[in-house]
Amino acid sequence: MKSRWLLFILVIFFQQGFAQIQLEEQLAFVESLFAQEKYFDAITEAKRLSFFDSSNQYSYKVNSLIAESYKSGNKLSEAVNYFTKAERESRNPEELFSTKIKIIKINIVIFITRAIKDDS
Amino acid sequence: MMQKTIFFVLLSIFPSLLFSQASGLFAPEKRKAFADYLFCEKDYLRASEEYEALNNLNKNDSLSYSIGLCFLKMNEYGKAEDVFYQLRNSTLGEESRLLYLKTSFLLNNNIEEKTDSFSNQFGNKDLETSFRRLDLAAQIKAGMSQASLHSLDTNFEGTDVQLLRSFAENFSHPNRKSPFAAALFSAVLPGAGKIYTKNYGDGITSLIVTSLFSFLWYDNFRAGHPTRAWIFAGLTGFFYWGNVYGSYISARNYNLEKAEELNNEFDSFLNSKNYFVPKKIEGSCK
Repeated sequence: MKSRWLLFILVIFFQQGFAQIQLEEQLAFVESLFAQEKYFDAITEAKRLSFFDSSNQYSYKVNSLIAESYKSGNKLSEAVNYFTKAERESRNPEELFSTKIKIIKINIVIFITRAIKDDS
Repeated sequence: MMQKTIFFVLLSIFPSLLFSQASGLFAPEKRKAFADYLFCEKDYLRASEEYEALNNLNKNDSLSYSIGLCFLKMNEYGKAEDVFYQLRNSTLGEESRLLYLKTSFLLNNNIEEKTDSFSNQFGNKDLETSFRRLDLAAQIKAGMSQASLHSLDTNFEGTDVQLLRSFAENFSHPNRKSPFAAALFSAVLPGAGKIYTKNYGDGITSLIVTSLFSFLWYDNFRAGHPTRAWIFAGLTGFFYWGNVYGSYISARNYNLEKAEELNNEFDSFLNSKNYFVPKKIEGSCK
């Protein structure tokens, strides 16, 4: 009886392990797309990772990558949106600080762009 | 005993390995869930790509319908129209026919013939109501007859009926300015045609410039400078006829602007009311 329980726990453990590997592989895939400057695909795959990451363990990383991709694609409002999500998921003061700085920087750019547009 | 246990362990792990491979993040059911999530997040472009990838693997009406909805939400009415037309006789035929008519309507296509061919093809009561409303909206845009106005009362509710009646009135008797009248006014008094088309700045400028050149023409003749007089005569003629032609164009532009204004006003009214398509067939997001 005891061995069967042990076996059951083992199976669950393996399944969790495989799911974990899949998410890690997906994160590596997202990072490679981002490095290749394929921002549209990077966002799609990052959103996929975020959707299946039920424990939110990659939340900060994924939201930051999505935000950076949007920023590189000049979609600044979306970038702020995802940096704000990343800010909520930050795990230490450094992450929180760097995300806040990025949000402020993008907001300044948005403000200047709007001012120039309104002026012309 | 030991062998048995090892065999049992392998037997237990093997399906989990297999299951893990088959149900990766790109497994069809997971892709579908992800596509639905993207749709609800209003990321319609990515949602449509996911639905299309799934549809390429295993073609089905529900996926095509979702692709059509994505196009509709992205205001890609031409593509949406094609998709819904293909689905008009499918399992989602009723909804697709209605959305096909809606996209045609949004594309400003004439849908009268289409509504005729689709009438009595809606078994569902909500869809039938939406269809009749869509048909009436198309009639309003086409300049509804007085005789058909009473059908607005039975198909729409509350204050909307009054608003739709006023739209119907504006579409059938639009506030237009006659280009020939504008040209005639400007021929009698330079700039008057432009003032008639509410182009006040241009009207006054035309009056001042033409009058000024006329005066210079007359004054130079009187002072005995025929060359200069002829030059000013030419300039007067040029500005005079330019102003007549400009008034004609100004009236035409005025009519186009008013028609577009009315169209936009009507479309935004319809959008704000979300008429024609029951919400439940436009995707169910929490």
